[in-house]
Amino acid sequence: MSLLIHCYNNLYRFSVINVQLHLMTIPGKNQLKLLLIFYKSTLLFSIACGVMLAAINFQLFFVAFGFGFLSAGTVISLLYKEISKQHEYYFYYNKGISKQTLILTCVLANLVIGILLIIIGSYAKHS
Amino acid sequence: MQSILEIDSVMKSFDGRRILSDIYLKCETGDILGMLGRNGSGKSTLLKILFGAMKGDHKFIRIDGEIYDKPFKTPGLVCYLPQHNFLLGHLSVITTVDLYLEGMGVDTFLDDELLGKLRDNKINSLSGGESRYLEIKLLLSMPSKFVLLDEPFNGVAPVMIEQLKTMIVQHSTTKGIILTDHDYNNVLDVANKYCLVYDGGIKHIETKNDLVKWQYLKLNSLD
Repeated sequence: MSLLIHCYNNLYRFSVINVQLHLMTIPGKNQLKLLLIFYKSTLLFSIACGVMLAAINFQLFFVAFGFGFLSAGTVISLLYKEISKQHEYYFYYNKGISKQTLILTCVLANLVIGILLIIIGSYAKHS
Repeated sequence: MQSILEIDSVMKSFDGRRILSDIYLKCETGDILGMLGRNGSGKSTLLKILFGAMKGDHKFIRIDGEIYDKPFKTPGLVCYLPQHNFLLGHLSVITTVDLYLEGMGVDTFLDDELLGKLRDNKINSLSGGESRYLEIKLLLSMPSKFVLLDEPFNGVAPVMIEQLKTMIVQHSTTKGIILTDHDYNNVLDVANKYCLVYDGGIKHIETKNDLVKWQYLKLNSLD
């Protein structure tokens, strides 16, 4: 129950205003490197979820992969971080990067990649 | 330049149990403030609130006259060493140092009896003590005004503790340092100001007898 409340509180923080504020702050080169390191560390679960969904629906491989990647993949990889890698957030805090920025970067990147894959998959199916 | 960090009116409760109530703490450049307290007294909670990683029910943080909600978000203000190792296991020592120091003085940093041998090793291949040593040296080398060290000597060999203490004293000329550790003898050795977190508040400590008075030490431990 407390985990659900914690997750709800984190989701609440991602209000539209928060998203806008984060996008207005342009990270430096070093911060971009750190954001990329965080993002790469979430990819394993995202790709695994994408592959699992694609394996179920092989005919729509890219669409299913993209959907799994951006939905369950994002949620599971961030939950994994929240539950078992909490202490690693301090690595980023000490360089001035907040948890909100890390999570937002991951969600946005997965959203862009996932939607692109779905579009490619839909286009490939119709042509 | 002299910097002043103040935290005031800190209140924090967990599940209705008040851990911190109306705390005031001040640290200046040159200070090594040793913070002592029993298990569960709220030392780590206070440091996390001060760093900005934890929300307080109420808090007021001021650095050089400016008020901050989350000081860690402003580069060059505060660094924090948590109780558990926080470096990323899959990165190498040299990559981590390069990322943290942003390429400035990496070779000088690694010109060290211990770290020189480990420069290409992955963080997850280091022992707990080696990892701790690297973390503390990294945080002290960063251009921040204040460093918060939560149990820096935990799991570190006595020889390395002496090196760490020397390093902390050297860096205190340009920084304010707040440290807490259960090995109170090391804290008393290295710090130049002391306080005790007791019953949700801060008690200023002048002599070891004060630690007995506030029930942190037993009378027979004074020798």
